Amino acid sequence: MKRLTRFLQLLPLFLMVISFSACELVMPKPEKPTIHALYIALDYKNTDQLNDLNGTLIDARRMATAINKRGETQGVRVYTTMMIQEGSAANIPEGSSPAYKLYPTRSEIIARITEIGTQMKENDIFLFYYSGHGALEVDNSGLGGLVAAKTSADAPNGYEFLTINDLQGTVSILPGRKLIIIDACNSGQFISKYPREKEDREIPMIMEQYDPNTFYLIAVAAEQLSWETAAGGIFTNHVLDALGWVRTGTTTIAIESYGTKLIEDSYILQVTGNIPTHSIAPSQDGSAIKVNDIYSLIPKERISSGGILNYQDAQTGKGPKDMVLFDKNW
Amino acid sequence: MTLPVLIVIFLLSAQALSAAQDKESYPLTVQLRADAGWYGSIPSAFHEDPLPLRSHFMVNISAYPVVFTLFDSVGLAAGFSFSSVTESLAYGTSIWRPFFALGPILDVTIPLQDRLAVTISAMYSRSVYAKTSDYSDVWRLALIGEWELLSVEQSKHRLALNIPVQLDVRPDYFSVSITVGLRWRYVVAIKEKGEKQYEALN
Repeated sequence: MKRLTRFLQLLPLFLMVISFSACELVMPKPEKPTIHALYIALDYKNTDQLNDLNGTLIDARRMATAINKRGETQGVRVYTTMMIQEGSAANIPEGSSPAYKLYPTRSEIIARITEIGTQMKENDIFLFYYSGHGALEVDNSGLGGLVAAKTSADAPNGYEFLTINDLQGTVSILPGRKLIIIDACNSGQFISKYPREKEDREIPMIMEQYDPNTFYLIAVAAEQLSWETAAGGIFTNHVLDALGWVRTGTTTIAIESYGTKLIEDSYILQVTGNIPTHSIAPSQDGSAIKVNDIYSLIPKERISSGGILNYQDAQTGKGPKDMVLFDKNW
Repeated sequence: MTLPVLIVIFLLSAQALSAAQDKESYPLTVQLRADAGWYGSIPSAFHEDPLPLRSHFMVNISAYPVVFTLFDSVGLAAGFSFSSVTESLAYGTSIWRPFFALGPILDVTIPLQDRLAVTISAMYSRSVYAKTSDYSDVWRLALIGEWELLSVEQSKHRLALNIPVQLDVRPDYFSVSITVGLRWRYVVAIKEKGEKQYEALN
């Protein structure tokens, strides 16, 4: 009995010592991450086969500005690449021109993601933002996904798709952590299933699609439509609000690209709205802004259009893991 | 097995045991247990987590409307338990989500010495990650060391220091926790044996 009593007295102490020897406080601090952001936006005004979208370009530019400004206030370096399709057919760059590399066709998007990956380290963050049309992809048919830009003015099809496999396959092999933000119809289909159950983990297809280092902020469920106004996408507006964006004033910002290392490109972005200096984002919790906290500030929307009530429910990945997007303590 | 079915089975069995207790005129006792402390999530290989263990802070509150003595002062307590676990400490760009858990709990308390007892506890809970409403089933097994702090003769109150060591079993990963807290028992019914006296679990 005495031995049992002594064992019970010592057991918690023993477990506590074992536990804390492996915890966050004693492990070496990871290197400060850099954010590598890719923004893609299309207005589809160069094709007759799709409805024009009027808020997408504004969304991408405001998001890029907000992430850069938050990077400044949180002391995090941000590299920015913007792939924009804007305006009429005359604005399609020549396939061999340098500008074509930033024109968001399916193949150029994949190429840019892969190139950005070569500049990333193990602790870095890849941020993918897309604002444009989306379509439900049926049974990995390749018909559906994100609607990329038409390849040339005389292309037989008005557009091509960046499929679920295209995006997941390209992003999952990048080092570091990845955040996928999509403001498009049916975008919930891009969230891979979290293999919670043992049976799920025995299915190769589920495990191939699941990347534990990819996190999501997605506008709608797979079967839902995403809505915009002239002032931008409803979902993107909520994400911006969570980052502390205010709609008054003007921001002019020079964004940092990779220079001669990749595509020599530099932008001066000028947008309406700003993140006030020294402001604290509503999503900030202590020193950090996490994906979970941004997601929790996005309300479920009920939008009435043509007498039909549409549901717009933002989505994020399941499971226990979350990603820190900014942290002053890095 | 779904949560509602489990709860019904649990309540029916607790009622049956309670009825048996009434038949033998045992005292009716209620119990509260609260503890707080360290909670460690152990990532599975497929999580590809940079750490072998994620540290959280946990608070548990359990209420036991059904408490009775079986034999040799071995106590059985049935009730419901609520746990709140904070998000883990951040490590670089990764962190583990906070969650809540609620479910039925069953404790068996075995006295070892005058003031020392050990409780073996089993709990089934539905855990919900805060903010995402993503839920999971969790089975919790606990070994609780108990040291009687307040036990006055003829008193209806019993207060004990608790040190629970707990294991959480989920479909996707395990967790361990070590907490410190108090267990309070209160005798609400009295067994008559010639003269009036109180009985409580030990």
